[in-house]
Amino acid sequence: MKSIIILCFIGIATATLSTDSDKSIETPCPPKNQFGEIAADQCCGNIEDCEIVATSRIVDDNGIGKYDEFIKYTNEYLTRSYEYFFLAAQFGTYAKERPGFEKLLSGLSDSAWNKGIEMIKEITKRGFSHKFILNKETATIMSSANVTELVAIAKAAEIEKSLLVRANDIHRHHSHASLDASHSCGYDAGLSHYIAEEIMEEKTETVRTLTGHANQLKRLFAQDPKLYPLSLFMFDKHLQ
Amino acid sequence: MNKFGILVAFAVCCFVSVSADTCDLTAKDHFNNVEFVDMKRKCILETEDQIKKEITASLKYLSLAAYFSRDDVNRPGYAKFFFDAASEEREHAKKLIEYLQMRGRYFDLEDSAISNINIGSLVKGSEKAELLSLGSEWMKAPEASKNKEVSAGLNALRTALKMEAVVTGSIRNLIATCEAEQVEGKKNEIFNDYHFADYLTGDFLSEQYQGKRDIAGKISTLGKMIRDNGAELADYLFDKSLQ
Repeated sequence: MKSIIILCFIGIATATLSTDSDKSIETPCPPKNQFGEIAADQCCGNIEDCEIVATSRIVDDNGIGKYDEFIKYTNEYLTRSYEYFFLAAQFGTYAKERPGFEKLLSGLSDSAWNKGIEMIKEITKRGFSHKFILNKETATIMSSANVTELVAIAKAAEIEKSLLVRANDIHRHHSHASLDASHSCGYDAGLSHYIAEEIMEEKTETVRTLTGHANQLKRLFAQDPKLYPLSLFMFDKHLQ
Repeated sequence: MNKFGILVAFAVCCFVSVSADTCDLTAKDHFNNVEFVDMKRKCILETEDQIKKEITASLKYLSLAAYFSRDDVNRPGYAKFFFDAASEEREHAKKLIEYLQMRGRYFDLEDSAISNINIGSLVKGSEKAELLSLGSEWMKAPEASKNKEVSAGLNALRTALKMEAVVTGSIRNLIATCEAEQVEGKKNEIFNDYHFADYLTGDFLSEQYQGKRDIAGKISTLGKMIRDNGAELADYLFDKSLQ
């Protein structure tokens, strides 16, 4: 008898619990235009009545630009791509003659450009338009003048790491899983997944490679500055 | 900046200050004044300016591609066409850089236009592409016209043709400069950069004229389709042919 009563209690408690959680799971910021329940004949008779607005958005940004950070991030890739482009150009001149460094920086430029294009496609898949908005720092990026090999590598390492850190921030913004709708307005599991898998994974490798190069060059110089020009020559050979 | 950043910046600063004497920053000194670079100043500067224009064109194409990628525009064929065009313009900029490298241009000079490009503002102004002086009507997204005679696709292709015409004109001016530049300090001497003029004519102008012909053909076909079938259907079908 006792066990039956206990089972009953457990049953009631579970039922209450599940009802509670059902209530609290809300769709955060539902999109304005739902088009699933429009009557099939609505658009047949009079075209003026046809109010179907189809959108790929799964969350609305409520006009406050919840996806703006991702868009700015995309534009930073395009900007960095051209920054690397000119950085690479310097190492292909006769006086610098470092084809290995040129190849490395040119590769960074190409991958930033291609990723930028991919991210434009990614944001439009989600029903948002790409805009050419930039954050303050990105807006002032200039092509750089004469820099040494180590400065170029250290600069690249810094850029790639700042992009990785930023990706981490944007991921957090879109993956703030909360059952409270008001706190999870930017929640987008698909975009978080994209950021983690398609951006951060690759970027982590790049940052590691570049910081490794920077540390190696630094040690080569520190151990024997007189041999450094030769060290650079050999280092460049191995980058080719 | 985080701790690592500070460390790297510090290391770099130290390195630069220590290495100034030992590092070979002035490799040109090894040439014992043997002058082998014969490309002239004005021609070089105009080439560098052309590089900026190619980059501007690449970004303008990117803005068109982004427009056609929108879910409420839905023209994947046009988007692909303009994404490809954007990357192609970027390749043109790369080819010009490689040419300058081959001819001995060294990008550390103060007068080098490409050492001081504000890339951020170029990206920000992608849609307007001010450097190409296209005029205000070409500086916006290619919305369809209200009178249903001009589709968004037709508008964008016209913008592309306008842009290619501007770039072609700019390359022609560059050739004119490079094949008849007065040599500095020598009043009656004119330098004709045969090789560069030939390269620009053969490689760049050929591609420009072929590109313009391709876009013009597309405009013509689409224009005829619109006249017979209406802008929306014509744009929809033409987009399929671009995919």
